[in-house]
Amino acid sequence: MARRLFSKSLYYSLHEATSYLDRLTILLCFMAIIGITATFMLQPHGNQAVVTLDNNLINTISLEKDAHYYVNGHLGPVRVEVKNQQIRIVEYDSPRMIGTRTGWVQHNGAITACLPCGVVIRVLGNQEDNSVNYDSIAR
Amino acid sequence: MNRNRLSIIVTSGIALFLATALWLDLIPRAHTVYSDTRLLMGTLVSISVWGHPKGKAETAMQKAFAEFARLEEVLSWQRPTSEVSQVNQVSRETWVSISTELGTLLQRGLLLGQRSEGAFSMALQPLTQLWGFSSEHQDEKPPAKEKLDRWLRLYPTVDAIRLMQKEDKSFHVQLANSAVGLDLGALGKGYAIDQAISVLRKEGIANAIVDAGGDLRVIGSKGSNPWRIGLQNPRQKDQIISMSQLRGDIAMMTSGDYERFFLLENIRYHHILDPKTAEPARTGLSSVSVQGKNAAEINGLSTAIFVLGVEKGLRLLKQYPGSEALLISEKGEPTRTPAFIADWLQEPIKQ
Repeated sequence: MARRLFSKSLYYSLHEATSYLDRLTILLCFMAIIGITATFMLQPHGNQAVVTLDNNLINTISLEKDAHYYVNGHLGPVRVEVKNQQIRIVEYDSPRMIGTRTGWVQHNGAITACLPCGVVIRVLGNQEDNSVNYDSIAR
Repeated sequence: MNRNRLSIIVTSGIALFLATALWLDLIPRAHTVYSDTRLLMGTLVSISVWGHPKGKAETAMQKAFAEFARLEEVLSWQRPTSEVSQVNQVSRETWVSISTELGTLLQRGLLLGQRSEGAFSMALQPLTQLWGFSSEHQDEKPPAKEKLDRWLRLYPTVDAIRLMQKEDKSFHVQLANSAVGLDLGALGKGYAIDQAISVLRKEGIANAIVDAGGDLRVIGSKGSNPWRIGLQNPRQKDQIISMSQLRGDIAMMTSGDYERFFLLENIRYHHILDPKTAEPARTGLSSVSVQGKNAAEINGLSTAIFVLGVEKGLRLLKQYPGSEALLISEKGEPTRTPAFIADWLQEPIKQ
């Protein structure tokens, strides 16, 4: 099998240069590397959002399923909607209501908030999404 | 052990070590920005860190947020226990001992107040309360004219805030009368950004952005790339009109009439108040962005320029070497100083 995968000369040089124990060590090393790489590749991101009230975590919401929730903010219940893997805050309308004006968000790290309510929603995870063009927006 | 055998085993060992280091986040991954956001000082404060391991970045960000929270307890007049609130609560006839930190910040603000001939003031807390821009439920109509006139009659054009530093270096403050109250909103956020950057640096962070509600300071870069900062169109929030590619150590603060405002009979009432009229500043500007080294200084400067207008504002800017500005009029016309860093993307939408 190994002889089919590698050229004959490479197979023989590897075979001559190493003992059975060496080859077992190398095999274990590469299996570990593949396992670690797979852990990275399969990390979930962007399909959950965390809801905080006054910077305290109160809920983690899946964006996989359309739904709506209510969060008890300082000004009363805040309605949170999930649709098509996006999330938004609805119902309030005031110049200070950043959440209402943000609309739907879905990218990793995207935020929607109702500042007077103390409610902040952030899409997980915490790594940059390269589809977002700016590191910050001056306003 | 022969040479081939040794090199194969060493190569496998190095590969395993690198993979494990990457897994444990000991090696910063290319193009990875770690960021976190908190609700502090009445706004969203975001910190982003590039080029450092996750654990180090997160520890540094937590400490920087803690510094923001500490300063909120000192500077926010909306927190009843803050140092500023305590100054506002005492009798106007007495001198109040204050911390060196607050005293030093007031000194800087008073200098800007002098240079701007009163256009910038840290004494407008009672007026801000009258207008209600800081309250959770904005009453979307202007205060009664009699109330504004009464405030104007009482408000002293000079020495509204009296600051004294004794020989032992301790600071003492006295407010002129009941029309005067400390509101460090136009300076405090910038100062908190500066302090957060200091904390990050002490933690060994070389590349970061601290952004408090759209006012920000960057240090370092993202490797070979600069930090990319979009500037929001004052009249269309989802449109970006320019991009500033910043690297090194530079702050960018913006004052505009579009973040806290209400419209009544097609008149825009916004939160940047002119102490000479007791009304929202009307000098034909919709947005002023200032770039410079010190976030606290240019935070106040952008507000002062907004209140002064283009001509007087640019004259004031010259007193702050190293500061550059982009002013956008209500009609969407930009005025820009030569070294303001920005690539123009599109004309702002005109009203």
